[in-house]
Amino acid sequence: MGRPFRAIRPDERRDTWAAFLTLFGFLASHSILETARDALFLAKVPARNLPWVFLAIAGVSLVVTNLQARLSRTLSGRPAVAAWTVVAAVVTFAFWWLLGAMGSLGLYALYVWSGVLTSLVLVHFWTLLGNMFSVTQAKRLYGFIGAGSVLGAIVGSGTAGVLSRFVAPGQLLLASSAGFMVTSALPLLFKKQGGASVSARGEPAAGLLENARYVARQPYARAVVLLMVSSTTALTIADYLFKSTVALSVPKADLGTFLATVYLGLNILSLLTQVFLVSFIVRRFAISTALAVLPAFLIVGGLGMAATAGLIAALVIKTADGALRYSLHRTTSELLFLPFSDEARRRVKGFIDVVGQRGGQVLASIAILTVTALATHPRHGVKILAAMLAVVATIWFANALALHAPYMDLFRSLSRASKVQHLDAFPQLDVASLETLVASLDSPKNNEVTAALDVLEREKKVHLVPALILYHPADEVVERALSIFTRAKRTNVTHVIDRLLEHPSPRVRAATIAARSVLNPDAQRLLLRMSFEESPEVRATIVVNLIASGEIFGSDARERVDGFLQRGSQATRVALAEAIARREAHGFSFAILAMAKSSEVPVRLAAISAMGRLKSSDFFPALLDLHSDEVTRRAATRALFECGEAAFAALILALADENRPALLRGRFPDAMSQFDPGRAASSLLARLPKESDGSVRYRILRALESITRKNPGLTLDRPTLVHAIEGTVSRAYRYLDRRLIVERGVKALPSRATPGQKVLVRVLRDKEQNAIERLFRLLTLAYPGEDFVQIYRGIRIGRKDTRASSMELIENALDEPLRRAVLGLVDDGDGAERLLASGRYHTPLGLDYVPLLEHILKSTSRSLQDVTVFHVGELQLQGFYDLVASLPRSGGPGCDITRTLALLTTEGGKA
Amino acid sequence: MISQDAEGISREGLRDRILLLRSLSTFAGLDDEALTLVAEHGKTRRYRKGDEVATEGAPLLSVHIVLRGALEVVQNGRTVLVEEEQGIGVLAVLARETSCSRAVAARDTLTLEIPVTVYLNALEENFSLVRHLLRVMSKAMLEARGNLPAKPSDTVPDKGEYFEGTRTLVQTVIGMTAIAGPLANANMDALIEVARRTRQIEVEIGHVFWRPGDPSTYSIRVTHGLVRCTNPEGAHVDVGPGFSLGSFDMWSGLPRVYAAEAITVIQAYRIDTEDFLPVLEVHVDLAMELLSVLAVALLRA
Repeated sequence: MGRPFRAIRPDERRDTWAAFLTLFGFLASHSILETARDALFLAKVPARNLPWVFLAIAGVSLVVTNLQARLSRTLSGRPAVAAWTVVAAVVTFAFWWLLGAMGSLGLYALYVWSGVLTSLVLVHFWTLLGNMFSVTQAKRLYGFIGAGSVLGAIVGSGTAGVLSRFVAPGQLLLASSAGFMVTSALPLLFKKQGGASVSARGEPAAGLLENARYVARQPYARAVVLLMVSSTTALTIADYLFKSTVALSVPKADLGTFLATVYLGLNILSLLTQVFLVSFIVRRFAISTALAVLPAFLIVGGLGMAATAGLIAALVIKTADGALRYSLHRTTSELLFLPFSDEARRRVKGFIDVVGQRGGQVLASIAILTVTALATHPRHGVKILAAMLAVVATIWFANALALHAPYMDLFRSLSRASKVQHLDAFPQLDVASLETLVASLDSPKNNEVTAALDVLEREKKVHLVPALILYHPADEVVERALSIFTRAKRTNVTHVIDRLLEHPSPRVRAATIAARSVLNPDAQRLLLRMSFEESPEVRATIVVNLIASGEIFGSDARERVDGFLQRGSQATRVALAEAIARREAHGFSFAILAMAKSSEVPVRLAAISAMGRLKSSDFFPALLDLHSDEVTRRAATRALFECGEAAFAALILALADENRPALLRGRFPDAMSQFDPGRAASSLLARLPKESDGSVRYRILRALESITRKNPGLTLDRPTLVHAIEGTVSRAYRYLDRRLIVERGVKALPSRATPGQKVLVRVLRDKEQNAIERLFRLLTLAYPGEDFVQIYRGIRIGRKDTRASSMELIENALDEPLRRAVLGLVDDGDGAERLLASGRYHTPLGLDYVPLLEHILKSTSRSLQDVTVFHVGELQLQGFYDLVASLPRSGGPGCDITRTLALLTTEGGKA
Repeated sequence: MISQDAEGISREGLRDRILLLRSLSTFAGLDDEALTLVAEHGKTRRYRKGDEVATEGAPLLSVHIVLRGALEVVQNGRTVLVEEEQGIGVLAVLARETSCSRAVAARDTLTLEIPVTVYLNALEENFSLVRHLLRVMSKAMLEARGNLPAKPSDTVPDKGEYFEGTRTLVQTVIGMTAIAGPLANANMDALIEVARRTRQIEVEIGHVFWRPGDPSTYSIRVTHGLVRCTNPEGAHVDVGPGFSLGSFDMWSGLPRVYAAEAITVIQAYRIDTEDFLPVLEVHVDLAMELLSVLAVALLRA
């Protein structure tokens, strides 16, 4: 029991104990009632009549459920549990009072009452708990709470066994009634908000038909209903097999004692299962596996019973039923409802209570009635029913295993509710889209027209752009169209282009000359134009084209270009760069590189564009450096991309060159992700373990995410990823361990609580969080089927349901030992408890406060070193002088090492 | 009456929404991936004049960008006209508000509706969106404050204590966390990175940090002294210790819109845009905190 106790966290104690005690009281009272019922019923009524009772229970339950649905508008949560338990006490008391006068009809009524009673109370009880606890909490707490039911059943059947030696079975009803009355006070121990989820909203409870429609729409709900129907059918048949065999084999006078003894033994077994097995199985295995354990035993027992039809086989079946039904089966069945929202849970539970539970009983009853009517001998009928049990249990078994996928899908759907979906690729143009795009060229909004032009060029549909667009009233549109026509080499627009040579805008004239020089070169016309053109921008364009065509050459060419560079306006230099780009004229590298260093952004951008068109490796160093500036970064990446493979190779080298600032290197992964995805991914992944700078590692991860998102079929090198994941888990636990030591150290000696110590704790906590975030990004790369980034977001959001869904997804997606370690990192429990989950990924440091500071100073993290050095100064730990002095430092008065060394020297001299 | 443009979506498709967004100057700063994200998760909604787009006090579940038409939004008792390319709900979401202001279609209106959760996740996933918002909101903030970093009516602060010597990295970090603002509770890794990239400066009375039209490439966080900021119209405001001066200009990417001159000896930290941006890219929480502070200030402006 130690483990379940440890699993209860302080804020959960009250509700967990309230649940435990309520369940204990209810089941103890109910067990006394059951013992009385079975002893009275089986002594006077033949067991073959039991199926009629089961049918009656189903019918009455239907009525009661609808009554409950109506009442739940005003009565739900903990008051409902309390009120229905009072009803249980009163009705049971009435049976004690009136049973003698009711004759055998009273026995039937008592049996039906004991069956309906559980529906009345326990549905409210488990719904209350389902609203109160998340799936993560449930997995921790339901084992303990469930022990309340088993313990209650033991105490109840034990009490009944003892009492039955002294009083008649009918008197047990009084004891049961008293037990229910005492229990009715226990739900009031729950915190008030626990019961508020249903009643506070005042929503009307849905009727059975409405619930049925809801279940029909939900694949997972349908699967749960099927599981419940098959399990109830199998358990009802099993119960009948046991009771009918007992009735045949045990003398009626001994029935009370025999049943009490068997039930006591079974309940003790159930308790042992609950305490030692349930938590282990639920935590260790998938829920579907846990659900398949009981049917597996029933298949074996059913086959054995079909072969022998003896009391031993019946006891085997009953043992499996008794040991597992109210422990493992009940706990895991309740877990099945947790992926539902509160509203959905109410609907599905409402439906399952009638159709799942009672429907199963009806099916089993019909089967039993049919078999017993047709069987020539009771033992023969038992064998047929045992075979049927094996068949139904097999269906149950298979259904349990098949439930895993829809169970996980439901958690995924919860997790994905806020997920940002990403396109695999830019969608292909269809005819309708093309029509819209071309229609956009007539838009009165210039930016809409230029956007359409850009898309058409990117989609290689420039031939669809009408030449008449060159008559567009907006200069920017005409310029853009000219550039696009030039790049696409669309010579059939030259007749329109010629009309633009007299355009009032110098920029349009320059673009026109550049376009014409490419599409239909004519040096003589250019020379003629040069003689009267006054605009420096247009002249610069003409000069570039004349140099490119060899009309101007040698020092004359150089001088003219230098003239534009040194004396030209910003517009002239932009025109110069654009002309070089449009003509794709080589021999102008000096000019382009000079303009790439300009302080004027438009000039730099024009130079970058030209570099992309010229595709020379001479430009790579400049293009790499231009990634440091926000305004030129995107253009520089595009230019490198246009340069192709050689540029990619330059990026790989630049990323690995740790002499470059990390700030700049951090830009390269994103640039690399624009290239061939396979090569980019393998290059980035290869760099990941070697990269020493945390921010660059992060940028590599983000780039890898972007690549794999756009290319879902891409496979990354598994060993490298696993290595990175393990390293990150270790790092996160190391930070946690260090922080816990620091926090403990301050509790031991409060004078250590200095400003530096507070910063140290925050740094360690935040570094741990950063490592965890990166871990989930790595997991997304390693497990493409699960979106771990979204799972982590679900954990961080802080909402109970999304957090629990995320935890459940982790449990099911990862294998041990990684699963436990990852869960430990995101658990909201106490730090020391979380550290225990580290497993093989971290060996506890086991250090005291001062040795820990020494340990951190010897680590590789500069931030941690700086903060620790500062803290050492605060504490005046002279013994650290040599160690602090040996650390690399920037020097100067603003250096923490220098300051601390001064403090250590001043305060106490070198130790 | 509200109607979803279901027909429009299927006919025009995602591509056309991207095209539409690309043509809006509001989204000019976004890269292709960010544009696709917005287009993919947005739904176009048509409203007739007088239709209620958002109900006062209702849970804030989505933001709207006006594509055509205009909305009337009631904020702090004032009715504001939100026109094409502007949005409703964005500031409230960033300011971490949970309920809507009332919004009604001022004429037949087409909006792009984006669920809040998706919007926030998209911000975390795509820095281009964050950068874009920083730019747009900072610009709006400067306009709201009459091209000054603070309201001229604000109280003249005390010039604070003069710090002898130079602060170490850890002292800088402790100082940053001591002042309420986006850095106070920032991730310590981010804060240390910021501190590492700042330079401590000390200037004499009369030093001009910048004039209108100068490029906005850095901001300063004053730790001692008073700086007078004067806009081209002659209005001025004095700011002092704890104030981050020039950050709106820096994030907007626009040239300086006011002059900043030391009227006492000034001690301050200086950080360049290109040093700050990479920190925000790696530490999205800090970026979101900055956006939140800006959004709260804009809603109050």
